[in-house]
Amino acid sequence: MLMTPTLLLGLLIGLSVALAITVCIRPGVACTAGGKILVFCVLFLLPVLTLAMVTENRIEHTKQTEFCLSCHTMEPYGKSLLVDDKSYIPAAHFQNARIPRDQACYTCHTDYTLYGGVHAKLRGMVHVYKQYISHPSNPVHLYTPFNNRECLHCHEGARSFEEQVVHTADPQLMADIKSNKMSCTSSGCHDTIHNVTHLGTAKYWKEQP
Amino acid sequence: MQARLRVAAMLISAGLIASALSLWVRMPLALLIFMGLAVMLSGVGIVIYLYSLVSLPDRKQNPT
Repeated sequence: MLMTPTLLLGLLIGLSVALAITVCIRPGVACTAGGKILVFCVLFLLPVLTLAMVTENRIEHTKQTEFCLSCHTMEPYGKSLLVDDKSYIPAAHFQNARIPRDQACYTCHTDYTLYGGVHAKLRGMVHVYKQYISHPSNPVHLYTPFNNRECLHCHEGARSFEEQVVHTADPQLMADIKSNKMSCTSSGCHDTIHNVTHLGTAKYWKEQP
Repeated sequence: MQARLRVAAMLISAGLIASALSLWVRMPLALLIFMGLAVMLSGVGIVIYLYSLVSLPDRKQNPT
């Protein structure tokens, strides 16, 4: 039987709960010196350790593609990853494994800055609020225009990008792309993104098992 | 002291059970269960336990 991190975490939680219930039933155990140390471990060290590990596990889980697509609003965006048309930028990246498929949304929609991950998590909390309490806008919109930095995180330095004829035709062009003056996705070059309004007529790729 | 320990242990157990539940739910709801219930219940339990430690009567001042 495979011991996955989640299963190990489940076992740790089970042990912590069992010990906490024991203290709950017999609080008199704290009367001895050894008992005090045991109770400190059971009611402080173990819960803090367990909660820290569960937090790390939950944060990792929020990076998963299946997590993002579990919101009804995001379903068409997930469907757009399977469009059989290489002009669809997210679909081409997803189908050709240029990004990790299990973290497809997070890979392109997190800011590659010092606190990018933190900002992504805070925005994620707003998304959860909108999903369950308010209502999400349809179609959804980005908070800010897509920054070239998110593309350059992988493409900068790649030969296929740096030596591409169109990119090098004008020396100023490459500088503008790298300084985000010219957007990769909205300058008429790579502007077919998710296009969720056209999904009804699109052909779809079927992933091989 | 023992009553506080009992309450703290109950809250921590409930919080940990909620965190276990959040591990199996594969939806954004899991995050709410974890943040809203698990962290809050366990956190309050830990605070009650720590308070019970610092609020122990000083034996030297109150010899009985």
